[in-house]
Amino acid sequence: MVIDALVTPFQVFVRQRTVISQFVQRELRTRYGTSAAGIGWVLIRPLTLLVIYTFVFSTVMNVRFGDSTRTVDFAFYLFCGMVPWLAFSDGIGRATTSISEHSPLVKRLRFPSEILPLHQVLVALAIESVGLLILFGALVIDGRSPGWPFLTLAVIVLPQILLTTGIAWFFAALAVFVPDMRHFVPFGMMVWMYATPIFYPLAIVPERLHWLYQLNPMTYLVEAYRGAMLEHQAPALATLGVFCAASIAVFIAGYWTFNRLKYEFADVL
Amino acid sequence: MGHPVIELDDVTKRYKIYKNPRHRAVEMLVPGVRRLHTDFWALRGITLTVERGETIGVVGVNGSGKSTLLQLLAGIIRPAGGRLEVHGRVSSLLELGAGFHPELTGRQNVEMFGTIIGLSLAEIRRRLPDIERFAGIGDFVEQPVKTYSSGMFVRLAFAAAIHVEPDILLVDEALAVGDAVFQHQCVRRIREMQAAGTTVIFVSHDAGMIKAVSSRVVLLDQGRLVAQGDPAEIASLYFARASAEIARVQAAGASVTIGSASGAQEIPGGSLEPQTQLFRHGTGDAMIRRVELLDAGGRPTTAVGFNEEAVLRVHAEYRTAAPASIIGFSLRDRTGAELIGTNTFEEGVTLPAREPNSALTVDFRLRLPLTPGTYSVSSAIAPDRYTRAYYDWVDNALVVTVLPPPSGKAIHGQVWVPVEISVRAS
Repeated sequence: MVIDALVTPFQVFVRQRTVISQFVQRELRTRYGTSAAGIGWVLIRPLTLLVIYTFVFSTVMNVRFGDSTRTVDFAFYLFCGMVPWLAFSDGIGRATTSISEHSPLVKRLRFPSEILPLHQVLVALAIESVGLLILFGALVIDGRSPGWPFLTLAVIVLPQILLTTGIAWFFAALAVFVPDMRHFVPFGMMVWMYATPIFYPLAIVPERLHWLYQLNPMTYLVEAYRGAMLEHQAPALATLGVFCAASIAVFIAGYWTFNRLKYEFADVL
Repeated sequence: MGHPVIELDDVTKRYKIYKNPRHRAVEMLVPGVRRLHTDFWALRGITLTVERGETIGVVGVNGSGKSTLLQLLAGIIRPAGGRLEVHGRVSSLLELGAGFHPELTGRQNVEMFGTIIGLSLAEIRRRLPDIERFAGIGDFVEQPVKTYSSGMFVRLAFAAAIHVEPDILLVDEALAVGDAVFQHQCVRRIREMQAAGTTVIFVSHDAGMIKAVSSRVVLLDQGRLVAQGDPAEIASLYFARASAEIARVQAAGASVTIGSASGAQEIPGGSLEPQTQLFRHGTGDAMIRRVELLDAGGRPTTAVGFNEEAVLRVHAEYRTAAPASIIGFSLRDRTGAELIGTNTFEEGVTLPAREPNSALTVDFRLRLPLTPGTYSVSSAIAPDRYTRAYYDWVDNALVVTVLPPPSGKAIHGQVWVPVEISVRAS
């Protein structure tokens, strides 16, 4: 029983792999295949944000990461935090409305609706990987070739998927019954973004607030990305272990919340 | 005897009705809050066993729980109480094209649909040619679905839903869509599936269809199963109740619709359209090239007045020598029931011997004293009356419309025959 409850959520990836891959392809195709700039939007949006945030936080407000005073170093740190954050917040944002957007499917077909939030999470992640490639290229050009710790990203991304999916399932299911979620989630994500050390280093946060940051899983994620990409540092095993355990717990809890509520979706939509 | 594929034992379905949508959220999220909803029982105490291969017609006025029942059987919603067991793959025609994305091509959508209902990509790709042939939309399968006419959309969606080889097929009045040619095709295909042992559950307001297609009919009223049994009996019971309801509502000065009657139909052309090639079999030594309908003046048409003279013209082409061939036709109503049929042999006409690569045109001059509506014409050509094999047999070669009599006379039943009435007062 307990084993089942823990294992079932993971089986979604295996059992529904065909539907998941179809939905991911469809989302990418319809989101970018139909606009003039096409896949270009994947680059335009993060690069524009990067320029704006760099200008505001580095040039205007003079925030610094470490000792370097170079603007480009700030941009690297910022981008390194922005990439996982955008994957997280875009995935959750789109997942929140994914059930009502696909209401004909949910109401008219026997359909594994858990893949609706899940595929949005994966799409956001696929887009993130493009950002990572750009960052990697830029680092090489700047002469700061990332060393082997760069490869630890492949490990970090797994709990990242689980964490994002778990939250996505929770919000998506709740949004069906509580329409306010569509207002709350974008706003909540903005608050969460500023509460994560993306635009500033954790070091300049007053010591008495650090406990708050340590409760935020996105702090670990952003720090892990920076460690791997910029500081030649693999995440500490203990930290990684805690992050993994927390992500798995959120994933399983999210799945069961969603699963409990999904048979009511057709009644409400 | 058989194996029950569907078993319902005292199944109930309750919907919670909230005065205000936010009450649902409050009830869900705030612990210890009092009840904010009232219950609506969409289904109560439904007990029903369906054997493999049965066709169950479900009738009932709007709001009697028919759609809820189909949703339960489809596994979209769960019963609030009771036991529900469904064995086998279910394909539901509750809404055609549910899940089709306008920006994707027809083929991509069909692949998508297949994976959604649980097929592997390989299984769908194997069925794609059949689906595309049935839909008959040609190269449009490569185009985004948003460019389709509504007719094309329905054809493709129906073709996809019906070609997944379900054990159980659920149909919710989906057949009331599409043009007449397509409707005839759909009924034909459903009958094929019935013959192959598929269990069919369908909801319809069409009494003729219910009686013709189902082996058993279930009548729902306010969420309860009030009667079940012989199709003709239950269907008349339902229509008696429904007309009483109409009378009651009309007396109250409102209007009510029990269902959609098949009204004016798009009239298809007279030549063999690609989709009509679908149900054709035979050796191919001779082929039916075209079936046309001509009015009394010899002009091609697809609509003919009730009991007016008309000509059904069959063009045949021979590839081999045929000393004693026979050409015939039959006419089916929208439920697929064969009403009229004959051939040159039965009518005492001997066709001339034919050389290879020659042609023949046969005119059947007739009257159609049929109830107004659309009818599908099948035509066949056979070597002689003794051989079992056909040269060619084409179903749905043509769809003809019989127009109502100008006098406004009502036709009771499917076929009218001349009647002489004499009255003696005593």
